[in-house]
Amino acid sequence: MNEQKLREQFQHAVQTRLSGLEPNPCLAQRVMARSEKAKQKNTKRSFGLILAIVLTLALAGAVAAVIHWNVMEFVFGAEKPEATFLVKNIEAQTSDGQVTLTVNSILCDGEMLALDWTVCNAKPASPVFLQLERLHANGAVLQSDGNDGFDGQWLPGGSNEGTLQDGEIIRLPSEAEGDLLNFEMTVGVYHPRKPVYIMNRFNEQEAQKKTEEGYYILAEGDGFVLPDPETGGLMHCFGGINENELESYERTELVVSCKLNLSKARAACINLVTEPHYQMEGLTVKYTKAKLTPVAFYLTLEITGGDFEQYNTLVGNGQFILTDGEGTPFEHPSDYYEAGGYTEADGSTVWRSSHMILDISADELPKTMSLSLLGDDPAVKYVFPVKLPAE
Amino acid sequence: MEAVTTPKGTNEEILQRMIVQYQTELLRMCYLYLQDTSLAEDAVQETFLRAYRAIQDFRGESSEKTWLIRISINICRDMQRSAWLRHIDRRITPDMLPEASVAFEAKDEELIMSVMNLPVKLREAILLYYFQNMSVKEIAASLGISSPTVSNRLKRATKKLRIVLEGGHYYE
Repeated sequence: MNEQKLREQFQHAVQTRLSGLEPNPCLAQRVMARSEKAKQKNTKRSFGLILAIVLTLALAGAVAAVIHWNVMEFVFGAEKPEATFLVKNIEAQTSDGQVTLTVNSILCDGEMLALDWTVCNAKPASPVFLQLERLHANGAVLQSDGNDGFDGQWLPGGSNEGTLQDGEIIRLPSEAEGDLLNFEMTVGVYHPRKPVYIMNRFNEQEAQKKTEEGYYILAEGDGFVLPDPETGGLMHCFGGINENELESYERTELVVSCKLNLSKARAACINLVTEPHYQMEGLTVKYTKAKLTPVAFYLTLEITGGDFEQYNTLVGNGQFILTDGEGTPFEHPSDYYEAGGYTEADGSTVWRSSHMILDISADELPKTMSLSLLGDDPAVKYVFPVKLPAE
Repeated sequence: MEAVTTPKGTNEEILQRMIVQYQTELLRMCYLYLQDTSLAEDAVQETFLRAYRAIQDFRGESSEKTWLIRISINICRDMQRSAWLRHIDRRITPDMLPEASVAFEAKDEELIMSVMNLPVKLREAILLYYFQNMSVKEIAASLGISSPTVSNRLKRATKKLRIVLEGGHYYE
């Protein structure tokens, strides 16, 4: 599906499926009435107060100008004072002379790690392709949540600006259970060896001509212009760097690493009280993680003792959902969840469901909760209670 | 986007015209952003209130529509950042959508749901690019982020939408 088609389809979908959202015929009157009310209030303010507000705003502006992109803003959309002690401002920076990667700060509660980063190309006229190639913690490979960050990107891409700013949220693997965490992020930077010819719209004939003249073609600020094996011409395609095309680039590597001491994070973690195991239709159910940290609430449940067919029969007609101790769905369902069957190193099979709720405190959780299997048939309900520890 | 002009008429006339012209579109955009009808209505009212107060300061440096979109996106972002909203998992299901007043196809509903279930940062990029036809540069200016960051988010969002639209699925 091309971009224009997606745009048309989306606009059509909004116009039809959201056609029930009706305009308010009294909106103009309401807006004017609210504005009038606000004016009356404002006239009552003293000059001194207005001056104070102006001064405060001016000061706030000055402070805002020096505060840069930070991990709290990235994860929570705001500052979160109770988690500030989990943030490490590392300002780690590395450069290949043209491209600079800076990891500004890291937030880690021992279960997840979030970082904010900036990549800057000092020569925007010479685009480079960036590829996030490795995230490591204590030697183990980490997976980003896929919603933020990048896996492959031109810088500059579809614009003339040379700065890319974003972040990653990563769940830590079991190798990172200790108090010390060695974190490493590696970005591959691919500099085209030939002079780059930028095309706003891909045009095969023009691309062919410029290729013959010795240029590297970057079309639409994205993807790669490569030989089309079917037509023998050129095509515009997307994805990562093609292994067969590696000689077209000079590759440099940007590595940022840091060491974190997680002892304070571990000490702030509340372990929930669970039963050693629960039974469900002859299978064993066990929580392998039930924790509350200043950043998030985590529950991971495993089903063992069966095979994939048994797990699928049970789970296929329902869903694992966060509920209270009675199996009533929790008012704050998960921000992150994953579920699936896995074969362990010893050949045994396990079915695992992991849930996370960001930015929730003990006060907002029910005293007893559960990752419950709720069937499509309402009569099917399996509840596995866990409790907050008594204070 | 539209041609750039300075609005003509009294403030009241300009407000009324803008409301007639843009209310429905802004309401739909705010709904897609905030995933809640009454919050979207509040956001639209606040948008026009701020616009009404600032009409005399509007110099026509961007189009009137772009100006209103910027105001409403900032309001939606503020509302989204509020503690209450961040604590709600707004995984949207078809029964949560407002009843449609015209016939629609299943794929229309599926697309709306896919967009609404995107993470907010990806969703706002998609809304401004595909629904409001803003350029990457305009989106970057509206959201206060760099153009490459916008491109990156659009790319990720489009990838996710294509998985849904072209027959993929997510587990669970």
